[in-house]
Amino acid sequence: MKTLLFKPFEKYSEQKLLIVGVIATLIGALVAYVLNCRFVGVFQMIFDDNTIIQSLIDNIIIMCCLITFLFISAKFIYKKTRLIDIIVTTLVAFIPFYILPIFNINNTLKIAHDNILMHSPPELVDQIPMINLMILIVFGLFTLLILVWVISLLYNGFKTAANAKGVKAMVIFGIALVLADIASRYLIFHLN
Amino acid sequence: MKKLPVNCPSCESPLVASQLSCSECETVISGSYSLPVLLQLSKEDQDFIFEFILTSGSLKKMAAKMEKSYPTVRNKLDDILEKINNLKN
Repeated sequence: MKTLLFKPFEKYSEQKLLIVGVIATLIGALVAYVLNCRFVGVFQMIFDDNTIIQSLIDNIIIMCCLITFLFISAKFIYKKTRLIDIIVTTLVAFIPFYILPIFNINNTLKIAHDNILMHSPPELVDQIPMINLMILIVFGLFTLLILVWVISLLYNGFKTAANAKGVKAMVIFGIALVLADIASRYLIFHLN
Repeated sequence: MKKLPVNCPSCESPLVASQLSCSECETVISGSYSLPVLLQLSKEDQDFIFEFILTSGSLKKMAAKMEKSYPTVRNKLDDILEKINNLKN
């Protein structure tokens, strides 16, 4: 079970992982569209109305940025790294993020978020509805867990693809992630 | 089968074969023969190399047989190559 959840790249073939990853990416885009969420960066999701095409383009931009930066980093560490291993790492590692829009069924998160913003002036702070605060706190904590899961999946996939070991590889991986996040936010902001 | 010790349990230096004997006629040869590099690898690594030869050097076939992904098997081979190079130097 631990292998399936955190290290699927060590066990399963790239064909199986690619099929799972592509299907999950399409479902993820559909779920985000239906539940009015948008992935606008590697590590950013917002509540916004969008179209299914826009949702798909968002996902494709994020994947392309991650694949590009992770592949360049992996090649730097290990010359024999295959592009397909980085592609499946990215597609599969992103799957846990697709759970997050489910919290926004009936616009629950957007309404809670807007309510809290409405009560943001200092004189209204003590009138913030407790239920909205609780919803956002639970969502925040759950998001942190999902984030840890995604990063560990990404790192394990990267490690397997690039035979990466040691602190140097971790630092390079971290830099690649940050650059991919910046690039994806920039591209999504300017292209959409 | 007993595991062949390759390092000294006291100082961890590589061991050498100092006596060889024939199980048929009980002839004993003494000397100082260093162990082949492959024998100095762990049992797991030796088994991996054995499988590698049995699959005609196909990492894809090995990955399928071991129920591991291709890069995992390739990484294992690279790690063994690194160990062999270290032992040779």
